[in-house]
Amino acid sequence: MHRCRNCSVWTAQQHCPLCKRQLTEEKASLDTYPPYHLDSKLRNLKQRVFLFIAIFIISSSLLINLLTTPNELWVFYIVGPVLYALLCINHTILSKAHAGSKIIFQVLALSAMLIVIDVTAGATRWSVHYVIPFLVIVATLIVTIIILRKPMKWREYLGYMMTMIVLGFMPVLLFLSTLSYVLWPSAITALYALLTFIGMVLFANKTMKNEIVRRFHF
Amino acid sequence: MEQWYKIDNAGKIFHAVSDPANSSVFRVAMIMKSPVEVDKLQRALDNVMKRLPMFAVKLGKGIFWDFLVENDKKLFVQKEHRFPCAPIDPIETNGFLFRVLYYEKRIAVEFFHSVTDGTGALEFLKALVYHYLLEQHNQIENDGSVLDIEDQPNTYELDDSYFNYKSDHKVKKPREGHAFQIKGTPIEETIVVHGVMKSSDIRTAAKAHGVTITAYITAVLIVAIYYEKLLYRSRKEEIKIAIPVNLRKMFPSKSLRNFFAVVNVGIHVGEYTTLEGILEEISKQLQRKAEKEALQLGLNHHVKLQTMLAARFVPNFIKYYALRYGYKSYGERTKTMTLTNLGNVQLPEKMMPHIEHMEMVMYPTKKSPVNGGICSINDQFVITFARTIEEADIIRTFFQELTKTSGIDIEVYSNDGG
Repeated sequence: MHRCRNCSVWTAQQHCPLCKRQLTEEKASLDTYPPYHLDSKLRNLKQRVFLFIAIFIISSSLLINLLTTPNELWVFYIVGPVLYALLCINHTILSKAHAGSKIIFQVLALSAMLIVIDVTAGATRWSVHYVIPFLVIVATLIVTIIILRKPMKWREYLGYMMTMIVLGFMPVLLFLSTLSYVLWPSAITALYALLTFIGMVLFANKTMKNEIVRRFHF
Repeated sequence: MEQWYKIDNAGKIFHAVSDPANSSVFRVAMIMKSPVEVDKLQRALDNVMKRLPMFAVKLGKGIFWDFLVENDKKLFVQKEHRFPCAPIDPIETNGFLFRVLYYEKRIAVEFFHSVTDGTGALEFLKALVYHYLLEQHNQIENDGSVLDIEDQPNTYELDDSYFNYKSDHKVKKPREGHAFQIKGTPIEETIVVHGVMKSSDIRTAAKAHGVTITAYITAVLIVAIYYEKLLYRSRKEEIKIAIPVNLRKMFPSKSLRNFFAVVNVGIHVGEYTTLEGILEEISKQLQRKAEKEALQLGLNHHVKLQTMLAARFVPNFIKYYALRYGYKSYGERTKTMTLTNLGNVQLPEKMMPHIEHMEMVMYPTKKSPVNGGICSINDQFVITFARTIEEADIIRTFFQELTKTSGIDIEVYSNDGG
């Protein structure tokens, strides 16, 4: 044990923990705390590298677009997919988020990317008419399959399932707001969402009632 | 059917305001006399978890409030490899909102504050260490100071005592003024410095001034903050120390969930203020503010905020945003530092020879980047400062002043290199 005259305390450490002055030549072998390794820093670094690459691609494409063909903004064909790829890498692949949230993020990001491409290509609305409704159906189906394959995880996925059901009615809202004018894909998506909901009520009514009480308690 | 619990009144706030810079994770640890045997610690943990279901929970997401739901997975003890009070990653803990750590001679539990407070965590740690020692084939009689795991879980232990003990007194809590805020160079790590001294020495020192240990330490801390931060500053703001008070001592609660209040004691220190003057004022404030009536008003105020009909039907994400704003503007700005004292820990006599001392680490936050925790056992009194700023000036001056005024020997150790 050494005394630090500056801080008036005793310590077994080589340097005073308060003023950092060296108190002894010998390296103290202390067993109070472990050496720290920060693995989260590495993950954050990877995410920042991918963010930088995305910014690099988008900004250089924007510059080239403005310098060469300023009347035709083809840069959006690049912006959408690059941002989507960034989300895929940083959220779907690198993050430890729940698989359910990854599926929902994929639906939202893919929809956003398709809308951007659709608008850039002349806004014929193929994305809101056909692709997004079927994308929602596929995502709901994936969550259903996961739940059926792993019934133990039923409760864990219930919130995501409910979100998908809500998203299932979005295409109908798009139709009602005249943003989309092809009814049948939206109607099929809504029916599929409704059937999924009825299925949940019929096959898991007690669990679901309990889950709803929890989730909506106030 | 899976059991679920509403998050208690205080727990809701911690849940809303926690982020990487404010983990809301505190640590209580026992330093044993010999290195920890992992397999025995794991077996002790498995046994204790069966008796304390309110801790075996994971977080569930709700629309208006989140909730805690029974977690049937296994909690594994972990070798300490991160800084104390690091945010709890549910993926790493199998969904649990606390972790059990070991390192050499230390057995530590780190709890997310939404689950329980210092008293609840201490009960858990005491039971864990008791059963760990039994696993090591020690013959120890439980004198009632440790929870008996043969008993059935008691519903009183699950009680949200804030609601239970709220009264009908209508109160308008006076708005508290802002306090001096410590600033420094932020660092990503949490540096802890423990100061170990004899309980009897510090008790004698406090007695010599006619005050309690908490009042004495608080006063010396205020002196240290003044010397390091306000002495040569023209604007001398009030230095306020937030002291959590265990409400179980005032209200007959057996709850193992959060049940505490925070009292802020402070003073405007000037050129001519003496330590005696600070001691007298702090002691007076502590007595007045920690009275049952004063605490009852605070309790009612908090319960009222959360039961307001308007607040109840606001979706979670908006409510959490409002809670975060309130916490930063009214909670964090009205204090300079938090100093929590777990008190003198009682254990069966035969457990004592196995325990060197204890540590209580209170997580720092952005606006309160240095916080203190106190715990004593076996005549070993330990003050721990945790900080997320580079500067250790206040901590250094605190120990210098404590040595100067009391003349006691203090041993310090830290996680900040050799």
